[in-house]
Amino acid sequence: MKLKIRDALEGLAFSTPAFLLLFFVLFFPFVYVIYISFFTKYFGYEAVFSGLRNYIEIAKDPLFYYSLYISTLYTSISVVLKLILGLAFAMLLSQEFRGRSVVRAIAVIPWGIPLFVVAALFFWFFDYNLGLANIILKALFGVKIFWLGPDYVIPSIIYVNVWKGIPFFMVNFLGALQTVPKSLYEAAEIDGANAWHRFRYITVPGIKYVMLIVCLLSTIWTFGEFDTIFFLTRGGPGYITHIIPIYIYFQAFSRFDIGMAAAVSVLTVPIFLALISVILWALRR
Amino acid sequence: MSEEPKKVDRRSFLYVGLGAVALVAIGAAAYVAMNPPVVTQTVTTAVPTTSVVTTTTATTVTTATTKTTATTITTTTGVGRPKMQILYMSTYAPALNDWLTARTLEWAAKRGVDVELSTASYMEIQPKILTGVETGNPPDVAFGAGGLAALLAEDPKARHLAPLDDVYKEIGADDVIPIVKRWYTMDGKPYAIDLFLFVDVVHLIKSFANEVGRKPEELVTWDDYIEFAREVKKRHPDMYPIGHTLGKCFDGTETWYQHWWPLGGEMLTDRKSTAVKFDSPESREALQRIVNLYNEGLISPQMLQPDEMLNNNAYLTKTAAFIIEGPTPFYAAVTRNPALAADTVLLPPPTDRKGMFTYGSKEALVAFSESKNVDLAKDLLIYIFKDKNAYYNMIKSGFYAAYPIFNSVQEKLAKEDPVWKDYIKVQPTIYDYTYPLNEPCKGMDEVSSKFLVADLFSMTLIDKKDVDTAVKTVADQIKDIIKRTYGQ
Repeated sequence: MKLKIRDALEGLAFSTPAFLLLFFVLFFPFVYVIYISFFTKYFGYEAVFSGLRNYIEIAKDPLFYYSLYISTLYTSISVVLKLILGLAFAMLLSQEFRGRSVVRAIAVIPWGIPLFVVAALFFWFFDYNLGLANIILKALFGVKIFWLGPDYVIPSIIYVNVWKGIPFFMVNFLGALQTVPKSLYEAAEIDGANAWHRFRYITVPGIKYVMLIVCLLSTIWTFGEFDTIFFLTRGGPGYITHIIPIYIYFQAFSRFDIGMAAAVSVLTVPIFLALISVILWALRR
Repeated sequence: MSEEPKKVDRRSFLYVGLGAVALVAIGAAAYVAMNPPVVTQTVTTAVPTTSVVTTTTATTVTTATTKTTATTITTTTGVGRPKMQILYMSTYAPALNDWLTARTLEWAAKRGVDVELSTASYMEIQPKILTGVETGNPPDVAFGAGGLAALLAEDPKARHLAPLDDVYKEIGADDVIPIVKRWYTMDGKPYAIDLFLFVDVVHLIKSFANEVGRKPEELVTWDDYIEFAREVKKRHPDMYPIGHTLGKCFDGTETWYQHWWPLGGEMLTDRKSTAVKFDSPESREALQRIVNLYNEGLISPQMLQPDEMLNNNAYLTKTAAFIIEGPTPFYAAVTRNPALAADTVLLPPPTDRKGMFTYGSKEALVAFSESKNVDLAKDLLIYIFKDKNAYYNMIKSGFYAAYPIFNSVQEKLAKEDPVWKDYIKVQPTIYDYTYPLNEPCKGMDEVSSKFLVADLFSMTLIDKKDVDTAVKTVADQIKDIIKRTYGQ
């Protein structure tokens, strides 16, 4: 069918606002970040072109590599735990039992709590003297732990992330589980498949696309998470929890150098692209 | 049988869209027509837990109590009045915040100015100010910018702060204590003024001193305090008697200065890397002492967390026998735990061979040169400071938390209160992170914002590096920053 000019103009008129919005909200800031990363730009000062100096300085900074390592460790352990526990809870809550709706509703609560509030809750939960975690530990085993101290801070922040993130996995898995035909399980049982076989060959293939998308989203969110860790540990003790977003924050607001902060942000883009590519590749398979 | 989906033709779509826009416009016009320009103050909060008070008259003083989250107070009024953006940091002593807010709104009502007053926690204030400056839209007045004054005014080519020499003149420059003027004077003009200082003092819990048979007034030197802590530890093996913060945060850096200065430690004497004095025997001695105190179990491992509240909480829960801090924890005790306040004695900081040194946390008000309302901003600052009686009342409401910047107010307080009398005596010993330069220094603002000196604790206590390596590493970092900032 031949496209009339009027139709084309109308189409353009309708799509232009959305295009402009995307340009200014997504594309322009992204390009600007890349541009400014080649400058030394202190807050309130003129930008001075410095070529690759910011990138070279970052490449020489051992803290950057540590931040990358700790971000990757934090993200991978958190996502794997959320995947396992989210799936376990979803399977549990997909069973018929009395009060299932209430339990499902309660289980979603952590996901609905704002990050700032979660951080505040756990700040006190982990407090050495007053925290509930140590009160329980002391009552059961007669010991107390410095939860946010050097030895336990990484498991503690992972715990908080997993606690907050499980419902997202669970809800998505619950939905996906409803789509797996019951007849498959019945047929498998008749054929003598045990519980593991049913899980491995029916449940997992049945929900694998949802699993991949949920893992992709969670990986991106967890890798870029700032609020909870900043509030709980501010990257410490020392630099133990100095994840990439905190590294960027300190470049901007302690070194006062937007150019450096932008350069670190640019360097994280390939990591995100790699993650997305892996997931998309898996989805195509 | 499937039903054909209803189609909406483009013409109808456009008509409906235009109709909606027209309705909104008519509604807005009607709203404006029905609401004549009456002064109303509305309070919006960023977080539901923040408590606020709303008032609806121009003359009523409005108070906003904030915890650590942001609050915005907007006065919406008639057409043609100037409108000012004001950004204040919320402190741990709400009475001080309330006074500043009330004073500002009172001024706004008297001058017929609309103000949008936002507050931010001490962690948020610097990023908010910097972002405003960078986007060319700074607030007209900000409180909590002490650590940014040099960054925003030291370089004449990037001077974002308005000079306040006329403000100082109006409020009586001679009455302002010398260190405040020195901290903010660039090219002969002051660019900021502290509302007050948070000046470190010892919060000693008397019952612990009594328990080990010590009189508080006998505790003077660091040796006295360390011995006292050991005695408390003997009686309470599970306790960590010294409430020192060791994390990468403001209080962590203050811990360093409290030990380092009295031993003779110095940061820099000029704005060049060769003038950085950090790599010194005094630095090694101070760090070794703190490492020993930690290893002896006199300081809690929890204190390695970067959090300003940790030492406050240690005092408030009596899990430390003493802390050294600007007296906001004492304010909290007076207002929430009077029994603890009664069991507390505030003492000057411990001394060592170079005498007494006191850390003064800068709590500055600034006006921005990009502001369209610079004159009004200065007028507000004058209004805040000029009435010395009102200022005196604000200081009193802080229960020692706020250290006055006026000699006259200090003298008045010293005459009526023996605690203030002793507290005022420390005035000549107040310094900040630029000691002994004691002048605005953008490079040192970066060193301070990065909490670099607190890295000494994490390097030795977490990474188990030796004292010498830690001092050398931090000294090199400080030199690099000064060199990068000043090119020499």
